[in-house]
Amino acid sequence: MKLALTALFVAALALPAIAGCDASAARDEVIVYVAVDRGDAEPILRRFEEQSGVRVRAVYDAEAAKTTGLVTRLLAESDHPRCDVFWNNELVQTLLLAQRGALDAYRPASADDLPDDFKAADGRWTAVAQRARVIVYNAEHVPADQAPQSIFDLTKPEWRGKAAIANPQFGATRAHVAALFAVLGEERAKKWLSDLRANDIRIVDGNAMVKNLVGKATPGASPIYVGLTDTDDVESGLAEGRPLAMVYPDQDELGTLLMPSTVALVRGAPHPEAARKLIDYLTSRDVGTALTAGNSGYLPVREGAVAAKLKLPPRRMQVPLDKWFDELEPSSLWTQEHFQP
Amino acid sequence: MPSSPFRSAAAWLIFAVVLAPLVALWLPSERGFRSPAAQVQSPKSNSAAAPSAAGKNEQAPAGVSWRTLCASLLVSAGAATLAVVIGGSAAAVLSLTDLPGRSFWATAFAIPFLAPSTVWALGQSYCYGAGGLIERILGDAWRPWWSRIDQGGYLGVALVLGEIYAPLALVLIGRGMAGFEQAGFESARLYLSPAKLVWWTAGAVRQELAASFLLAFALALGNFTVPNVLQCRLYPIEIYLRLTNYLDRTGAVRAATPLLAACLLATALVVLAERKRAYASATTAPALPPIELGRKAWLVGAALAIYLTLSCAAPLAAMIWQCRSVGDFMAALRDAAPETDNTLRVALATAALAAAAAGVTSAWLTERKRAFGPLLAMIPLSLPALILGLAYARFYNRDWPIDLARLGDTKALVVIGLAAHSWPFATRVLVSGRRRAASEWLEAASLAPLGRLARWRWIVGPLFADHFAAAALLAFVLATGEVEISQLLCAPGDGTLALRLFTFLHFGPTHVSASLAVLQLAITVLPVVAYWLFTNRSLRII
Repeated sequence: MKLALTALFVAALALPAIAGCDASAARDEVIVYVAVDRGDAEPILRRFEEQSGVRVRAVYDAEAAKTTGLVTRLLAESDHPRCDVFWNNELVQTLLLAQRGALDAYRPASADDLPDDFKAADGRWTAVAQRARVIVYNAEHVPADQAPQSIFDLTKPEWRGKAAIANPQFGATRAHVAALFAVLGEERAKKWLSDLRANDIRIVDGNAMVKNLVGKATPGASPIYVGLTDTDDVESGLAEGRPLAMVYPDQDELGTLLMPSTVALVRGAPHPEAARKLIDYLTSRDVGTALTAGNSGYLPVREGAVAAKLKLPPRRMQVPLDKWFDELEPSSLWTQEHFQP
Repeated sequence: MPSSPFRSAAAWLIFAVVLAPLVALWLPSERGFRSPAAQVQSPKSNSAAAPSAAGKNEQAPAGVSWRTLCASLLVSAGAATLAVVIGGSAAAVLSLTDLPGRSFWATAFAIPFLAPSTVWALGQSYCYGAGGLIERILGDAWRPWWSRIDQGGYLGVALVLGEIYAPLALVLIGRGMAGFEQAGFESARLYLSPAKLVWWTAGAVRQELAASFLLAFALALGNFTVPNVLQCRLYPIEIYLRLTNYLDRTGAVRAATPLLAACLLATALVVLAERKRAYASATTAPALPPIELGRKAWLVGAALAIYLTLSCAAPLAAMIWQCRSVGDFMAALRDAAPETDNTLRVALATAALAAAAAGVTSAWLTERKRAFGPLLAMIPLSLPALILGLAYARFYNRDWPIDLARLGDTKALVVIGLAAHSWPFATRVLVSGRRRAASEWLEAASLAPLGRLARWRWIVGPLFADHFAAAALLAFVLATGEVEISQLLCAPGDGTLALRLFTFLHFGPTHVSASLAVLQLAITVLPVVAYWLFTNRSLRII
C-alpha cells in the first residue's frame, strides 16, 4: 500500500512537470502582452511567427479589465520581468509604464517614416495605428440627423437612460476621461461626468459591451440607443451585421480624440533580440496597412496611407501629452469614487 | 483497514500543499510579485523607480461594496433555493420511482454542472438574451415585461446559477433518499396523503437539503463567470476589477475577505449538516422498492423533458445556430488548435494529480470520525476560484529560497491550482466509494499474503477502479472549463480554450465565441457520456 501510494504520489507530482516541459523548450521566443483586441492582433502575430520563426507567446486581456489589467501585471512584474513587448491599444497607459521605469528605449528602423507625434523622443514607445473615440448609435432606432453630435449631447434629456459608456477605470474610456480632464479642465470634465450620471447613463464593462447594447437595443426592454465607444468596436459590430452607425463627435469645437496603439520594449525583457524583431515588425508600414485596410477599425498613423478603410476626422482633439498623462490618475481616482457602475 | 502513519503523513502533506498558499493572501509583502494578482501589494520598483505625478495618487484601498455584497448574497440564496427545489424534485423521481430511463435522465441532469459555467451562461444568453433564438421565434413582445421584473439582471443570473448547481442537490438529496429505511417509507406511503408524504420525505432528508442548499450557496457566491457573461454586477466582478487595477493595490484582498468568510461559514455548515451521513454518490438502483408511477410516468417524463429542453437543449441549439456555418465553425476550431491541445494536456495532468491526491486523503478521511478532516478537505471546494487563484499566484511568486516562480513559466502552476480546486470533489467521490465498500474486503486485502503491488492489482484496484475513474473524470471536466484560476496561473502563450473564449467573449465575433463554446462543451460532455456508456452508472459521477 505504502509503495503504491508513494508511486502514485510521485507520479502525480511529476505529471505537471512533464506537462510543463514544452513550455520552456523553445529558445527563440518572445512574450508579448496584447491589449489590442485578440481578433485583430492574433493574425498579425501569427504572420510574424511564420515569417521570423520566432515563437510568440501572447497574453491577451479581457474586456472587463481592458489595458489596465495588463498594465497592472507589467507593473507588478517589473522587478522580475516576464514580458518582452507590450502592445497597447492606446497611449497614455504606455506613458505611465515609461514614466515608472518599466520600459526600455528602442527606436525601430521601420518607424523612421513615422511623424514625430507617433513615436517617443526617448524611444520608449512607437505607434502602430490609431483609433478614434466615437459616438455609436443604433441606425434602426435613431435617424442620422437626430444622432448626438457631441459628447455633451449625451447629457441632454432626450438621451436620459438611453446611453451607455464603459467603466472609466479601464481601457480607452480611462484615456478619454483623462484627456477630457486635460483639455476641458477638471471642473468641466467632472461636471460632464456628473451630468452623465444624473442622466442615468449605463456604465458597462468595456467598450465592446457598449457596442453590443446599442446594436441590440430594444424599445421598452433595453433602450440603449447611443453610446461612447471606439472605432474598432463599431467596425466589429458592423461586421456582425448589427445596425450601427457612428459619429466623430465635437467636430465644431472640441474635436474627436484619437488614440494611437503603441508598442514598447519592456525593461529587462528576457528575450530582447526577439522583442526588437517583433517591434520592428509591428511598426512596419505593412502591418500598419494590413491593420487599417480591413475591418479592424484602426486609422493610419502614416501620411499617405491610401488603403485605410476609415478616414481621419477633420477636427482632432488637441491634447498635450504631458497634461494628458498628468491627469490619468487623478481622473481615475475621481471616477473610482464618483462614477462607479 | 488499520490506520497508517505513512498515509496520515501523506494526507497532511497534501493538506499543507493545497491550503498553505491561502495564508499568502494576508502576508505582508515587501518583495516583488510577478503575477497580475500581485498588484495588490507593492513591488519595490514601482514606487522606488519613479516618484511621479502618477505615483503620488496611489490611495488607500476602497471600502467593501456592501450593496454589491448584499446583492450577491441574495442572488446566491435564490440560486441555491432553486437548485434545491429542482435537484430535490429530480432526486425524488430518480431515487424513489420506477421512471423508465433513470440512468439517462440522471446523466442529462448532471450536464449543467459539468459543462463550463461560461459556456452554460453563454448558451442561455444566445437562447433567451436580446436578439437570441427565442426572440427570433417568438418576437420580443415579452422582453419589456421581463426587463421590468429583472432589473439589474439579478434574476437571470440566479436562474442560471440555480440550473448549474441543481445537479449537486440532485446527488446529495438522492443519496439521502436512497438511504431510507424500507419499513418507515412504506408506512409513510400507506398512511400519509401525497402532500404530507412530500413533507415527511423532506424531513427525512433535511440534512441533505441543508447541505445541498449551503453547498450551492457557497459555489454560487464565488461564481465569477456567470455574472461576467451576463453582465450583472455581483461581488466576484468587484473583486476581479480591483485585482486588475493597480490603483487599488490592497483592495482585492480586502474585498475578498467578507466573501471568503461567507463561503467558509457555509462550508463549515455543510460539513456539520453532513455529519454521520454518507457522502453523496447516488446510485441508479433504488435501495427501496420503487414507487410505481404507472400512467403518471408519461407526465413525469414529460416534465423532465420540458425542463431539460428549456435548460439544455434549447441553449445548445442556440449556440450551434450562432456558429453560423460549418466552415466558420471549423475555422474557429483550427485557430483554437493550440489552446485545445493545451487544455487537454492541462486537464489530463490535473485529473491525474487530483485523483492521486484524493486517493491518499480519502483513505485518511475514511478512518477519521471528527469533522475537522472533512472541513479541511472541503475548503478549496467552497473558496471562490478567483480567490484561490489569487492566493496561489501570490504564494508561488514570492521570493522563496527556491525559485518557485519558475513554475509559472510552465504548465505546472496552473495544474497545481486546478488540481487543488477539483481535489475536494475527487475526495468526496473516493470517500463515498470507500465507505460503500464492504470493510471485509479491505481487511482481507490488508491480511492477504500478497505483495503491496499485487494487493493493489487484485483487490484494492478493482474495488475502487470505477471511483478513481469517476474522480479523475470529474477533475478533468472541471479543469477544461475553468477560467478564474487559469487566467491567473497560466504561463504566457499557454492559454486554455476557456481563456480563449474569455478573451473573445464580448468583443470577438459571435460565431467565434459560439464555436469555442460548442467545442468546450464537447470536450467536457463527451467523456461523461463515454463514462456513462461504459459503466452505466451515471449518478456515480459525483
